[in-house]
Amino acid sequence: MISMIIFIITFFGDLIVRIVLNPGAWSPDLLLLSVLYITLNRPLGEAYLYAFLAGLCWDSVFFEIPGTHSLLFILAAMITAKLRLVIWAQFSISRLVIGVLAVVFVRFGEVIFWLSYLEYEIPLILPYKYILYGSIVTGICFMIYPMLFLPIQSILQKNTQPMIFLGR
Amino acid sequence: MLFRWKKRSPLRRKKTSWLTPQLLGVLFVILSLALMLVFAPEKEEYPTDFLSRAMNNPIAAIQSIRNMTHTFIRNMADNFHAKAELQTLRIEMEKIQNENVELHYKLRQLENFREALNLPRTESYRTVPAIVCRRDNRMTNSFVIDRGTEAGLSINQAVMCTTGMVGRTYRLRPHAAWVQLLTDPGCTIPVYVKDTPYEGILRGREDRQGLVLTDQYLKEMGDETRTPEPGQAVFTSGVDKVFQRDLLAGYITSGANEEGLSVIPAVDFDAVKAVYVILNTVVQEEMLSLLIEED
Repeated sequence: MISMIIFIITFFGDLIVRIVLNPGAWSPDLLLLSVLYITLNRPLGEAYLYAFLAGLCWDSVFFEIPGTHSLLFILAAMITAKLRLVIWAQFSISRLVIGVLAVVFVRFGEVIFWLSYLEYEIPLILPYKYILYGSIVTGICFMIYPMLFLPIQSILQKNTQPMIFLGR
Repeated sequence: MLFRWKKRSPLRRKKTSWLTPQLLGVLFVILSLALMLVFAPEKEEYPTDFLSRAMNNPIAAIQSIRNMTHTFIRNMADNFHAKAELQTLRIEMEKIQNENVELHYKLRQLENFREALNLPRTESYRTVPAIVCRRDNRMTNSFVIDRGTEAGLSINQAVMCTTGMVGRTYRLRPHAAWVQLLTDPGCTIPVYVKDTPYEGILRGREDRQGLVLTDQYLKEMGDETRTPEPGQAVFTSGVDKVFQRDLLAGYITSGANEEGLSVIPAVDFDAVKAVYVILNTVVQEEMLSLLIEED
């Protein structure tokens, strides 16, 4: 339920930011932020499912090839799941690092996919600006993002049964 | 009993689910790839069967990364090759420049030889053709020619070219001679102005930029009213018994002033490439005639 609320808020928030405000390369990836947030705070299975569905919705709305953002979001969630073993996300600077890395990965993947489908029009002129500016903005947004719960410390739960869809 | 060992029953195992989060993530990744492959844009050259498309689309992304890497490495290699090529081109350019200098030197030599071949051949007195090797203007305005005492040259012999008198020999070596030009202030020659009764001494100006006719005096020719005018030719008079008479020295450019008459040389000294030296002086001829008479 929490994931659904977060998804609806961030999805439409991201749409409003991108369509109404239209900041171009400076647009933050709020949906990706929500994926990272759920990966840090919720069980992994829930996070992967959420990432898949969020990417699919994203591809449907922006007429991308279905599965592109799903794949990227799931991989970003996997990276974050590995990162949370070594970086404690309750610190702002840690969230900045995680956010920047995830956005760089996702946007670089977007550029690679756009370039690989040569029949599509590439929706940007300077890919490095798209990657750099977006990673900075999203990293800062994730840094000031309020963490309502203490993130899951998977180091402590290494020998325990991994959770899929269970609550905390 | 405070502590009792409790054996765990082998039948009582911990329940584990086969659906782990990692497996779920991998399944979603596979699902995403399948979606991408199904909805990927059709290309004519792509095969239509599913397996080939599954191979082609991920390869397209990998190919773009490989192309970027290949381009980067190729640019780096081109950079190194360009440096080596630049070094080679510099060496070749240096060689070509040296060849150019040598060819210019040979061309100059050939021009000198050609001009020497065009020198006039007079039968009235013996001459020796010579080529101007270099100019030596340190102490005097002078040339260095490639003939010396081995060719029969001696001091104070008239040096001529096709257009007029150049100067006189004043310093000798076996295979070289220094020619003092008319424009040198130390070079004094007795001359006369053609079609006038004026005679005098022609010497170089102090600024070495021309000639001046000094110590003029009127020769008794009967018509004293004929004064030198600009454009009239100046010839050697042969009074000094050294130079022959009627060798063209220059032309008068202006009227008389305090210094004398200004004369421009008949020869452009910067363009002279070949000269000829008149071997027999007037004194030698007279001495020779006297010796013949005594015999």
